[in-house]
Amino acid sequence: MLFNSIEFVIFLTVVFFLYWFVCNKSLKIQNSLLLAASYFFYGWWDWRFLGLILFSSLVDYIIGKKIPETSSQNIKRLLLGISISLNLGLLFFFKYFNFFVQSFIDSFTLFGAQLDFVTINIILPVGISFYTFQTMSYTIDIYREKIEPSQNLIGFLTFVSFFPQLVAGPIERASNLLPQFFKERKFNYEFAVSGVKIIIWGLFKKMVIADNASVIVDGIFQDYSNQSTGSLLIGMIFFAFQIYGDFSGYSDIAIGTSRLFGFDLMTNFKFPYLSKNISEFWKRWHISLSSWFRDYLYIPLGGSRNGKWRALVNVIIVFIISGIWHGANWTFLVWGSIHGLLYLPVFILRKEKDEEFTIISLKNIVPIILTFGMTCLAWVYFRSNTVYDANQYLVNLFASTGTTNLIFSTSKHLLITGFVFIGIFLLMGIEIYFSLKKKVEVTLNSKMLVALCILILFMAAFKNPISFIYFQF
Amino acid sequence: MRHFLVQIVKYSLLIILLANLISFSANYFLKQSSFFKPSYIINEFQPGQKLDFIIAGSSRGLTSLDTKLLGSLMNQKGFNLSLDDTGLPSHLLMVQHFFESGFEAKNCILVIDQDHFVTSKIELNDNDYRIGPYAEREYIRNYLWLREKGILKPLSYIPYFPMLAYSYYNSELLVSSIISAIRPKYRHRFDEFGDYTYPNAIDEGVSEYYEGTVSKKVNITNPIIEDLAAYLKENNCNLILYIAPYKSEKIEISNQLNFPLINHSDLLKEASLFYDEIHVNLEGKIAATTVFAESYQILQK
Repeated sequence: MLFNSIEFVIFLTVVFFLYWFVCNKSLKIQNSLLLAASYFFYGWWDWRFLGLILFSSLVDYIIGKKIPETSSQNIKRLLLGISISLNLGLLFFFKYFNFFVQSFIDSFTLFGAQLDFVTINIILPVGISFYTFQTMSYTIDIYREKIEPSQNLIGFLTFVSFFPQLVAGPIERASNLLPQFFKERKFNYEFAVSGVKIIIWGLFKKMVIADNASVIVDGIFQDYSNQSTGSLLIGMIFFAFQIYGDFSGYSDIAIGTSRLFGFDLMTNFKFPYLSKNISEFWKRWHISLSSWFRDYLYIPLGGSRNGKWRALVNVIIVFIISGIWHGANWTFLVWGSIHGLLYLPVFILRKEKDEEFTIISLKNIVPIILTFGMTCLAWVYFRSNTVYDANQYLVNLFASTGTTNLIFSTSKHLLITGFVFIGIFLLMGIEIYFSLKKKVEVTLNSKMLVALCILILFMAAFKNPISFIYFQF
Repeated sequence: MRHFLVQIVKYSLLIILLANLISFSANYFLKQSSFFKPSYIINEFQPGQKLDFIIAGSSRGLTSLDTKLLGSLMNQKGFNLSLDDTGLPSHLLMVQHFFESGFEAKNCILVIDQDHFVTSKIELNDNDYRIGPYAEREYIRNYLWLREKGILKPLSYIPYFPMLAYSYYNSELLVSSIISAIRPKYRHRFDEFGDYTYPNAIDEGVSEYYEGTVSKKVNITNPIIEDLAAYLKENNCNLILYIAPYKSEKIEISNQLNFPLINHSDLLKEASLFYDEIHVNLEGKIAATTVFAESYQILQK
């Protein structure tokens, strides 16, 4: 059930009315409704996934309760180990098993040996990377005595499966989201309106920019060897905006939908393409994941406590794992490594206290464009099917012999390109405007919202509604 | 809560109203223009115009015969109603649109494609949206209603709620309407005779060499042809079936047909006369039309 589908509109409307008009007498009933709705939402993809999420949630609920009950540090550690092993084990099996088996076979084949392992046809449960990370952070935080375990099973199950952010985040921390399930929720007009506004903004990014761009990007990446330099450049830039529109659009809709039910989710994107270096980019891009890796991987690895060189190694490890988190493919690993390498100079040269976010000014334009250019080059690895394809794409980008230009091949492609450019100019214009006002959330007035809705209606790719890219992760 | 719901309803209605206003305007501009063939014939033909022949078909109908040349060879007046990326049901619809708009023709040349010899799927063809602006007409409404799937039928609802169609077909209909508003006489990929011509250059990836002909024997039994023949008969028009040249196929029709058939499937033997496997280029078009005129002449006697 995609956020930009009729099914979701009907589902959301029904749940909204039941939540505020039928179940509003008791918090327990409201949570139960959200749980039922979330499981229905998740089961819509494949009901078989429900058992998995229930199992993962129950394990962490029980372990979460057991950890504070025991005084033995060893048993606490053992319990945490069980939780992490189970979660990572499930993630490994469903997401990486075939990849590692195949890579193992390939590495032997390189040396002339033939191995005969069998790969299994495994369906990747939607959102598994997101909810396993969310539940893991819960048990780790209990182990670290940062939070108290939940004593309410329904509330906890709903926290893990909360439908707005279940399949593609933001990856919430228990310390932020879980208490909200046990606080009385009264309908707040301003909060709900802000939710609607951010939903519309998210739909614009997803349906006008990402879905339209995907038509051009897919065509160019599938036929990169015949495309001209200009075409490859457009393909690369469009993918940067496709993935941004797709993922930040999803996050915005998730945040907005949560607000309709009285929940406040963390901000996941803060205008990342206005960053003046890679370090800043990662403070603005997929914040819930980068902060997760910071808190649960970088710091446990020692962070910067053991000297600069050790910190550099930790940074590279985090970026490589962050890359492979996205998918079982070498392309993601290379993508993560590139970001790690680009991050290092900034990390080494950084001052004690960097300004939080770049303020748009003339002197910052060049660094912003350079940072955007570097992220674009890295995106080529993210988008390509293989590392070889990505390498060839980049070689062709600088020395193409191709003459095909997909954009000009049909009037349809030309029109769609026009739509994407209009969308990108609007997006960046609005983001720069709000950035200058030192805001990280786009809050449009009613006239602009009406105009945006009209734009969505007449420029969205209704004939090409593709799934959210991050659902596959 | 009440205030929130009222605001949501208010703004939703405002957006729907504005979107429909834009869509009604877009529909008006398209109907007043020459952009697509269905509106071109209505706006550019004289009321009650009588033609000697019309051509109906898909892209092969659009590109195989040179209407102007055929007219001059036969000393007749004709128009090509073909729409690319469409099938036999759409050809029937275009013929109906022609006659229901008050025009007449003595002969209808149906350029039939292999895919539609036996049956046609009940589905919307890629370019059927071009006739959507006239969905208030009964024969078009019936056609669209039967073929559009789901609860929301964008083209079928154009007369009452055009927002759906102009959103769904935004790059096809909305942008076309903007061009129509600026240049009402602009025609989208067809000349004043309704033709489109592929260039002489051979399409990349298609063999330059003629690799011989593959023969196949088939029946033509699609009931839509009978429907078309009956409809034409009501309008005093004769149906002529035409199988236009294929690059490397010879099609033999086994069954007896109730109407004349000109089968030129293997007429052209040179690859240089083709744009791709199923479409002739400019030279091929002239060659095909010249030979077609001879056969057509015989049928006229």
